[in-house]
Amino acid sequence: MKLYKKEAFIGRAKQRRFFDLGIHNSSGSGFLALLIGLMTFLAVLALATSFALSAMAERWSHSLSNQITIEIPATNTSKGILSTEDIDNITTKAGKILSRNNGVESVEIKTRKEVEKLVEPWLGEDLDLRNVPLPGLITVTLKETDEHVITGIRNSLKPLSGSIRIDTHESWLSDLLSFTSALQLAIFLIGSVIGATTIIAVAGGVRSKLSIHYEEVEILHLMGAFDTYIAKQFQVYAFLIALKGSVIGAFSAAAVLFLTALLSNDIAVTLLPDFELSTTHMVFLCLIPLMAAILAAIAARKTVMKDLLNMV
Amino acid sequence: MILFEHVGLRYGIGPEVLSDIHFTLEPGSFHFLTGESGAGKTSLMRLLYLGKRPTRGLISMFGENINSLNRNQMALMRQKIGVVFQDFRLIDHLSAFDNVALPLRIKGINEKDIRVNVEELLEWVGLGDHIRALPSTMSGGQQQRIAIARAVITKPKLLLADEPTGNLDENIGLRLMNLFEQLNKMGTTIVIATHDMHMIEQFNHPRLALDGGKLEVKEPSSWIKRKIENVF
Ligand SMILES: Nc1ncnc2c1ncn2[C@@H]1O[C@H](COP(=O)(O)OP(=O)(O)OP(=O)(O)O)[C@@H](O)[C@H]1O
Ligand SMILES: [Mg+2]
Repeated sequence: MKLYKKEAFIGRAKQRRFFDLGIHNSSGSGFLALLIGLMTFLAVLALATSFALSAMAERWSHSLSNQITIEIPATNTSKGILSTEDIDNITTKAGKILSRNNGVESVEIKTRKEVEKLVEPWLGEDLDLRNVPLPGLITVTLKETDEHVITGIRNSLKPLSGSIRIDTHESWLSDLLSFTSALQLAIFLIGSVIGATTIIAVAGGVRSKLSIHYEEVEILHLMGAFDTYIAKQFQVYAFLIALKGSVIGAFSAAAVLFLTALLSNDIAVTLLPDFELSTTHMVFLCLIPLMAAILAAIAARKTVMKDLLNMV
Repeated sequence: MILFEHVGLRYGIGPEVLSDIHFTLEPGSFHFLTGESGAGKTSLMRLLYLGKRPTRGLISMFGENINSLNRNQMALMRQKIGVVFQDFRLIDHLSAFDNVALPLRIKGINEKDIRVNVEELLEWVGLGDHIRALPSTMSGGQQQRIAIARAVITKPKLLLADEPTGNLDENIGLRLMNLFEQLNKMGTTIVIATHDMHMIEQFNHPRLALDGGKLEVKEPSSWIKRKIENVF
């Protein structure tokens, strides 16, 4: 009797079971976990890329949005080609006028050396640039981007030279933004496909479990179990399987991201200058496994509740 | 409490296994269900435990037409019915304890009460040493006792047992019949399908006799004998 009590106690501790149905120990769970792991892996990578992209776009547009570039062209419609001295002259005058403008934060006149550096890639290093007329460039940082200020600048510079051009970077920025939002859309679509695949996989897995354990499910029904009682077991099962798979998947993705960041810091600095994630984004990425598990649980519940309607 | 009117049952497109079944069971009654093999005893049981709907006719249980019930109401009604299946239908991967505890868990009873009740009942049916054993490691008679324990653990209003003593030696068979008698005295309505004429004669209960798909209600033979004795 004593022995039995002890045995029962150990038995309880070990066997405290949640599943009335043997869904956790029949085959097929490993495949589902693996699939969900892969899906999570892809989802984390896609989302991280998306976050990094938007952060990058945000930073670029922020740093450029208050900047305009004033160009004093080397050719002038009325006078033909201007001399270097003329251009310097106009540029300096323009700089003075700009500094007096209330809407302007700072003015930076590019020296001829800097301008040479800028055109070098297009003209080649061998070319002697000393006699080539180069435009004057002034980078102006505005206090805020405002049409009136820009119009004011345009008008104040007109007397100096009719051909002065003001580049507000707007077209370049809008190209950049539409490019990144196209990428975002693509990533969103990929994410949706990943989500749909997960749902379909879970539904299929649960359905096969349901048919394997048909008899047991029927017994539960005959003892008066509500559909929700049975569905709950599949829900918990799907949740745990998905959590297991997705935690592993997310960790693998994190490792890949970490390596990518490391490599990009080493060699591709100029290509991926801003590939880093904010803390909020990190937290969000960490929540993906949990979301995958919840998604799996919901998919399992919906599938089971629907299929049980065909049973006694 | 239970009313069958012109009930017929067929499997698929097969012939009617049960036809024009007509009977009532009063609350607290005790019936044997008899008939030779293939007569349809298990099929009638299936109708009674709501495992199948009749192909025709009306079944009313606990005062409700079962055709008007939705799934959850069906489930609640099944919770009032205990069933010993002919093939036991224990859940393989669950221990004796967990199998017997199942109906209580479905009803949402707390684990402490479940433990006390289940262990006590398993003890009582002579399986106190096998509480954690899996059904597959047990003999037919032991499995049958688990199945019976599972059917009575909730003290059901209606107890249905399909050949419940088939695999048991006389001693234990009698003991379980006494358990059924006791439950019956406490108000449980009981239907037991059996071939065992010896048992039928030993206990003084009316019979639902199936023959050729038809059902006939027969008063207990000993009762008839006594009645005849009284006449003379
Ligand atoms: N699931 C089923 N599908 C098709 N036919 C069935 C099914 N179950 C039973 N039958 C048929 O219904 C008839 C009655 O079977 P049932 O099992 O009810 O008899 P029984 O009286 O319980 O027999 P036994 O004493 O051998 O258990 C038989 O002819 C059988 O072939
Ligand atoms: Mg039978």
